[in-house]
Amino acid sequence: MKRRGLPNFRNVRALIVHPPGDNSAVLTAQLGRLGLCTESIWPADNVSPEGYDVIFFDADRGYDQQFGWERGQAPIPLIALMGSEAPGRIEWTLGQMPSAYLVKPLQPTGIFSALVVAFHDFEVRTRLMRKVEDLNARLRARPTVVAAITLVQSCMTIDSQAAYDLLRSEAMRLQVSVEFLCEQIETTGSLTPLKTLAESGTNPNSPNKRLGAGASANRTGGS
Amino acid sequence: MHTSENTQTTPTSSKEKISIGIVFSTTGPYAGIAQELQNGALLALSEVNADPQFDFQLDPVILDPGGDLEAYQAISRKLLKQGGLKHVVGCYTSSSRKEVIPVFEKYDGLLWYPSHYEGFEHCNNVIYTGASPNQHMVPLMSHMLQHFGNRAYCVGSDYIWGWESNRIMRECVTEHGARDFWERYVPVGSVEVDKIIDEIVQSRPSYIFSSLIGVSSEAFMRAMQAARQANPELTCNVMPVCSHTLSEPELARLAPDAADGHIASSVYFQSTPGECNARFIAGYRARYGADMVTSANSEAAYNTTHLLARALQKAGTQELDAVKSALYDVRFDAPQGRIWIDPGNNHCFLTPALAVSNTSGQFDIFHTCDAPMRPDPYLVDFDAHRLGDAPSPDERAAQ
Repeated sequence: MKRRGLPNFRNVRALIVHPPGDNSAVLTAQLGRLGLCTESIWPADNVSPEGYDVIFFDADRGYDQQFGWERGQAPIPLIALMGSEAPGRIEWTLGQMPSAYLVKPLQPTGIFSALVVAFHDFEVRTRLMRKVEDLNARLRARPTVVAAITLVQSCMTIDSQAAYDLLRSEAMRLQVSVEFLCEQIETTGSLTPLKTLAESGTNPNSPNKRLGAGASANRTGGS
Repeated sequence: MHTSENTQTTPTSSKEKISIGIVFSTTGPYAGIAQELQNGALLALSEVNADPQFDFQLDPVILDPGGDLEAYQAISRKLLKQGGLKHVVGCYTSSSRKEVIPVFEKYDGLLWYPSHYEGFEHCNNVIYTGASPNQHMVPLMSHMLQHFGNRAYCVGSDYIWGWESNRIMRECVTEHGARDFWERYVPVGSVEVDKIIDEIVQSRPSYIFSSLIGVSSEAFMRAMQAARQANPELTCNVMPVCSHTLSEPELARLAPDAADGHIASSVYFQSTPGECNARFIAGYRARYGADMVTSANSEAAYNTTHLLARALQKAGTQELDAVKSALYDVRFDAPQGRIWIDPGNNHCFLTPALAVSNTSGQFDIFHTCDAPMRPDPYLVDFDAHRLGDAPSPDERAAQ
């Protein structure tokens, strides 16, 4: 994995969803030292992530309707501020899928590492989610791929591995995903898409159209 | 653990006595540096006690943890819990500071920490009077990049000071397109440097960046000098050693030949011009010996103790909040120039300078910042990519 450079939070925008008091004051002061721009809100309802890069939230008094997104689907990193260790509160906090935690009473020590951990975790998680979506899409396309392999096998009298290898190398040559190529073959019930795709690939008016044709088709294959 | 009474500074007047902890490891693996720190603190303390403007006498309680981390906690507890002290000047290594912070938080004491360090810390129970990384690392990196190139060979003592200094250097030269980068460590107290010297001679970096401390640094400098003699083309002009740690007491032991031609970054050099520094040097020599040299360490501890005394005087109490808010108004004319504490982060405004060492074991200063620089312990305002672009204000006049 790529190593991050010097962690720098200059001009990063933070929202603190927590009642005013010592904890908020310590957090605001330390975030200021770290170069962040900070806003606080309490009480909060249907908070929008718009205009913020990270949100600190009160794990003790928080509730789902505070946030303007589906539970666990925060579009930016969340950092939980935990005081109570009551299992119900911990359970609710975990449901928000925070990227880092800080234990109250807050002190300056720990806030910098929590930020570094949160942004790192969110980046890794986002990348993994994208990968999972991609794999899911390919899994859904599996019957289509099997159908195309069978067709290639019968047309060319080769075994299934050779048929798959051929589809893969053709897909790479045509710069489409294996799944997209197989979908075309299955739809037409023939191997003509190998030819038509190659021809349309030379057409400057529609070179990328097919790449956006479906979720499974917008990334080139590779096992 | 060692306890001692310092008869020279024990107050004798009828003024109120305020006990101040002085905690430096004047025995153990970094005793030399700790002694410089303690010397600086006690010199300032004697000046305060002789100065009629103060309503009190500072009474030093001197304890030596001997470089043992566990002793640091025990000593701090003894001073704050049993002794009821509020203010302690002490610590050199970051590990010792980290060790005592929980004790200072628990018993609400204030640690006056006088060493330059790697930054990335803020504790309400610590006043950081030594240089932050933007005041010691950044000016040095900028100069080396602009004048020598990006092939940095980093050698450091194997603990957080060396690790973190080299990490910043690596980020910086990588940002400037470095393909070669060397990072080597020597255990604290070790003098095994031959393999490193061999590698340097073979790889011919643009410069060597040293964050070695104590005997390792001296052994390295001597071995480097021998390597230069064996390879006359490797002069200090071609491939210098640079450091943000190198100071006069170390140079004194290396002089004449091995002391010459190294580039140093510091907020204080003994050669800093001005009356305040002349007074400091004279006081230091009068107290500790005519052949003694001052350093960034002794100056920092000296400054710290003066800042503490002035804040106590202004506050009229030892209570932390009152002392801290009084401190934020204190301006002290230190040997390096005017200094003060940034209320936003409890670190110190200091004036960075760059110098090249000479055969008499002193530094010839070739660049000094125009004004005291705001401390930036988290390097918030640092942009590695801008370092090499800025027109260099300095000339290596001394070379």
